[in-house]
Amino acid sequence: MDIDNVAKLARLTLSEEESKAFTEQFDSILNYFEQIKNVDTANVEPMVTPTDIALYLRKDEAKEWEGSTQVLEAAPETSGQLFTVPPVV
Amino acid sequence: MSDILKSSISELKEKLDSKQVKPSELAEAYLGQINKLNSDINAYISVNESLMDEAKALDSKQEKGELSGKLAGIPLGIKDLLCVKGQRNTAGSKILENFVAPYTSTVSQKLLDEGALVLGKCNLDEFAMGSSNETSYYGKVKNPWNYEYVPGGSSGGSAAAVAAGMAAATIGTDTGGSVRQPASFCGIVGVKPTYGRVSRYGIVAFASSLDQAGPMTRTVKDAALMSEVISGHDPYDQTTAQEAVPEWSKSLKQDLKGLKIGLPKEYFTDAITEDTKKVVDNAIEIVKKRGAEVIEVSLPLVKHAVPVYYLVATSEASSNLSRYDGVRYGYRSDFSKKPAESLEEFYSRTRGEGFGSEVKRRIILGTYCLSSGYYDAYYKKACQVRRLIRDEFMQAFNSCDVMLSPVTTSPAFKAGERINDPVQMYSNDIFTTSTNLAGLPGMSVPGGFSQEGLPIGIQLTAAHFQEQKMFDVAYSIEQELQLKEVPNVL
Repeated sequence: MDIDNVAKLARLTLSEEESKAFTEQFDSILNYFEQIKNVDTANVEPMVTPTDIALYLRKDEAKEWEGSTQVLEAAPETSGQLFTVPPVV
Repeated sequence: MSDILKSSISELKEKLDSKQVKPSELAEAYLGQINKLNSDINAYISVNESLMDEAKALDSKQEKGELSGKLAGIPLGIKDLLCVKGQRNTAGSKILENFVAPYTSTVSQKLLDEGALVLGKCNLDEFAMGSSNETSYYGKVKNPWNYEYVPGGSSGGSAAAVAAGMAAATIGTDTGGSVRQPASFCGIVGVKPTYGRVSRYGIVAFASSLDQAGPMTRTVKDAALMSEVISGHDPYDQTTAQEAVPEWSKSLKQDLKGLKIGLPKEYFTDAITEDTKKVVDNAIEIVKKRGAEVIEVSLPLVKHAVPVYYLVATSEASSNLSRYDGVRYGYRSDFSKKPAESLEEFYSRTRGEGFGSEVKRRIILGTYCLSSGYYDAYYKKACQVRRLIRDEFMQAFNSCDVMLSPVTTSPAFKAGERINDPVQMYSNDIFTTSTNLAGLPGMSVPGGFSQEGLPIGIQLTAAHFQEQKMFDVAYSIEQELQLKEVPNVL
């Protein structure tokens, strides 16, 4: 595994120690995962959710909600009703 | 007060109904136990600061005879993964250290609607990723039976709190065994409901197609009662079932005549320790004595459950955890000294500092499994095998009603023993992950003890939405065993 590339895709800075430890561990983890290659899955539809519940749909209606102040308070930095980020370019 | 701390919800309700005890006295007793033990056990990340005010408000209701609700006045702990409005919700992570929930999860709301008191938020592995409660940013949790051992995970705080009398009951979440395994390690009852029974709204997502919240309690009846309180369709979670919710706690049966119990032969391997085997064999004798027919069933593909589980869970987690970017909430790296040169760096540094190692390991794995060129071989293949595993279970449930097995191969292991070996740690989930992959209801009920005095649970699994049968079998085992041992700290 090209761990630096995957970390980049995942938007995740790894320390040198983490990068080294993970590279070693992934070898044995992926090796352990390899076993499923032997299962015959020809014509098997992938299952992404375990029950056959018909998904429930409701009307898409706007509702009053009083939590917006708390939501803004949870942000690292805001300006009025907006989330602020430091300049990055 | 010690007898209060050892009481079940049913016993506490009797005391409250007959006015032998006030809600505030109960709250005070549990709070006292938390204050006494939390510095050692570390079961709670935060305690509800308005607890005593809320309890006193219930006192006046009790005086007027207006204390109503299935959990009125019962002090509970909630895993710090389920939002309760106005309380901190950390998910055991630094990245949510200062996050205060702006709304309440459906599960928590249902408990509050029945009059429950929230004692506080229970410790857990970071983002529920772990089997030993050693990955929490807020420190390890210790097993109340013996501090050298892990309480299990990821709902380790929720399990330890019940075992040590720091809550009458708690809520945990189970993605691959995270309720059942710690319940087994701590000697309590833990339930993972059928996927779709319980709303995931307001619960920090780990792997959305596997996550279910469930109760952790002293008795089977309490577990059935809490399950019926938290279950039900929720317009805020479109994966919840419209299925009616039975009053399981009122229909518990000890007579198992007519019931077929399946023993999945693949779960009875040489890896199981002698003590665990003895406890499981004893449970098999009990269900036979109570009239059930015991048969062998076969699930040939469950040997692949752990790899399939980790492929699915890490893939879903890598997607779910992409929301933690330092923009709208949660931790943000300090850019005042060294500004980020790109938006990618802004995200990467924030996430790199905010997440712990186990979470990073799983995000990387999941990202890799979903990445171009590997998707078919890993994620898609895992989803195909997942379907085969589920079909195998459904087939097996044509010939039996409930499956009985160990929860894990051995009782709790020592802290530090497996934390540096992910494959060994992940293998611990060998008997529990398939239940989540197949979306089935499962539970752990105390079955006995190892020679070192560590608790050992029995795992019961039923077909989709057949929780009643599973509760009946658990109830018959509990009633026959009448286990009275509690940890010394209680």
